[in-house]
Amino acid sequence: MKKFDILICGVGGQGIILCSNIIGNAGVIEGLPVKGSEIHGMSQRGGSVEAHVRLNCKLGPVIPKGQADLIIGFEPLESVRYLNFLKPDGIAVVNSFPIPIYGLKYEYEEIIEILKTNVKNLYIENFTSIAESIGSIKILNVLMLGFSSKFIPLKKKSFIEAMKVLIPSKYFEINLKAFNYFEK
Amino acid sequence: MQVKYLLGNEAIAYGLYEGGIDASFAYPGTPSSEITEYLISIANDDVYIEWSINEKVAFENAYGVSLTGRRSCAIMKHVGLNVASDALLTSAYTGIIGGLVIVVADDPFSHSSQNEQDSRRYVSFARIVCFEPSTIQEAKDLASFSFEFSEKYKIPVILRSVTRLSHGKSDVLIGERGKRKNLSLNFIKNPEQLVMVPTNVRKAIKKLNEKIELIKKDIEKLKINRIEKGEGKIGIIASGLGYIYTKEFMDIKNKNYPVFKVSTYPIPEKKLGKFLKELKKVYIFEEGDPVIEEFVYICSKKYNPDLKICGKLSGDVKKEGELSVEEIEVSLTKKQKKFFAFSLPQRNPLLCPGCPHLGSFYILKKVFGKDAIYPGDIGCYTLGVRFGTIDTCLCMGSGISIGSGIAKFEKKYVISIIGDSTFFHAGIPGLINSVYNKSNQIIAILDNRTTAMTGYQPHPGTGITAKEEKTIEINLKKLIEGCGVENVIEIDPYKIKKSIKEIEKFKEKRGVKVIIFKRECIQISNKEKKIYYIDKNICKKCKLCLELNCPAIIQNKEILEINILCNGCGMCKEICFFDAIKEK
Repeated sequence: MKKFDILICGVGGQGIILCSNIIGNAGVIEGLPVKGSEIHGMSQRGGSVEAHVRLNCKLGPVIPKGQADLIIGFEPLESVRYLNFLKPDGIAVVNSFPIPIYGLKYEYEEIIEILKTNVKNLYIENFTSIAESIGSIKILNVLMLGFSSKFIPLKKKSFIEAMKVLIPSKYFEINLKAFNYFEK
Repeated sequence: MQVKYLLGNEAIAYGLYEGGIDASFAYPGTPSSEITEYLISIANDDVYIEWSINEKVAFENAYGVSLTGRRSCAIMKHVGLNVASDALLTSAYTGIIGGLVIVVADDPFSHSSQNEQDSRRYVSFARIVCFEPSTIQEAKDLASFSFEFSEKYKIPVILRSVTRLSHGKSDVLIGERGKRKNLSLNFIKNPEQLVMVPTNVRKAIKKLNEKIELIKKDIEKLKINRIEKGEGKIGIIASGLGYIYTKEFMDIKNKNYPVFKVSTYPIPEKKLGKFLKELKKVYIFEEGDPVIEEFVYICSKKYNPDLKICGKLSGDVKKEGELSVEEIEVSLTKKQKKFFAFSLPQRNPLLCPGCPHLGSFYILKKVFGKDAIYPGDIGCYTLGVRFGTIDTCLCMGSGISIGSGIAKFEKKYVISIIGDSTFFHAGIPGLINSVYNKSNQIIAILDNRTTAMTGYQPHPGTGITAKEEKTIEINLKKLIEGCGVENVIEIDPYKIKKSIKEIEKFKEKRGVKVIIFKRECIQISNKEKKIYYIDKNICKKCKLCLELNCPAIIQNKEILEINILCNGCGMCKEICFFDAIKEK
């Protein structure tokens, strides 16, 4: 397996760190070297959040620009902010549901247009409304991970095993449902 | 032996545990805080762990433990080391008994700090030793090894982390808790070593200098400083993340420069000299100050006077912020690669909807106005800079004393803002000084019952210890009265109208006046959540509610709305003149 770099981005409170931890742990379960990076601190206060996960990687914690194989964007504007990390033929899975920026203008249509013109392999959906229909916006992270998992070179059972370790048992069922939602 | 996917700080906690730590002392500070939290979850009752009131107190406690022959650790962020430095510098003179490690997390690029200082500078200043890991695995291994090295030479050892290491993640091989040979675990009286009166100091400094020479010899033998062979006459010296970024750059570009990895300070001079001799040009990649680079200048004189040295001093590497693979490429190729970037609005951190600080700031602005002077401090409330209610932020506990100074010469109201944890950390001497020297200022303590900014750690005012045991709760009001303040009031920032009235009553009194805004942080509050909405038919669009600066209240064209972020504090309902805000 070649190195596979994933960048996850969005807004503090969307469950980005948990999403990256599930991928990282799933990689370690398969015996791969995995590196990653998070930014803590101010993130819970509604700031912009990024997490990097690097599968089969023995080097640094941060993905160099233009090297990510996959971006999982929890918010459209934040996805654009980190687009320069994506490889020319990389994949972006983006949640179309916007989170306004307090006190500033947000040109939503323009943002969606930038995504459509700049990403060859773009999958854009309103994952927030799907999460709500399943039962809670709190499962947005695992729902988006479930959708993205087909692009990630890891086995499904490794993801599930990692989720069992990281998610409290009383929330496991609903998260599993979210993870499997796109499976036909 | 087991492989786990760990946060850097978690790996450091494992390393300390494996290294036989007996006691750990820390004050929370990003990016170091999680080390203590993970240590609590990893260690059984065989490790004593506490949140100390500040870093100086933490270090002195750790030093005390060391004097009983046990292994101890003080954990802090880089600026915390300044607070601890008074004790640290002289502890090198006395030496220590049991291994004493200071884990310091630096913050290049100031992700969440007030400066970018480099802890490695303390090595030559204090005459101690520092280990600098490049990977999370190495951070774990060196955390453990630091105890052994510290104990061997009876010298404090700094383990330097940085944000990307502390908050990086990696597969890590973890081991068992090491067992130590039987030591005599008692405090042994030895005034010549431990009492730094001038006659003893003069002996101690000589001993310390001799000790450093022994350490330098030993460091030449350590394999963690190593030459990695390559091709050509251009070489790279790198430390910390600079090393790992260098490796990745060479991997991507298929380059094979000779590399010297620096992991210790002092830097091994002979080994470095051997590396320098073979080169025409050398690049130095290190995060923070040009510490290695300056040493290379000194060494090159002896080993290779014609060497071209490229680093921060020569302008070949940028001086500020973090390194990255891209920065290494720019330095080595002199080409700035273009990555497309769109100009986007910044999503800056905000105070949470329902944050009691929003109420406190609203109240202060209503009573004292925008023109009053608000010396500030360090915590979530520093974000009040956006509302004009934070005018300074320098270091922990500084606001009160800065306020005192300003109030001596300014006729305007001076209201110093400080949080509860910060007040305990370093605010108390400033308060007493203010009272004693007849300052005429108002001090607002925003008491949210936790250390919120760094992840809700307890402090002496909470009545809970690091291990969640009950302890004596220091009563802020009594403490402040005990400091000689005659005018202290305790108010609830959610009760806006009542608070304004109470402050109006006492604001003109002379001397130091203290307002304690007491209300639990919304993130740890267990209160049942109500949700509010604005009734469009009643709302007169006066926009008074927007003055709260609550992220849940938004203006959509001309309509005011409360969005899904609402945490149900009810402050907006209280200030609305027209009763347009209602509970859902």
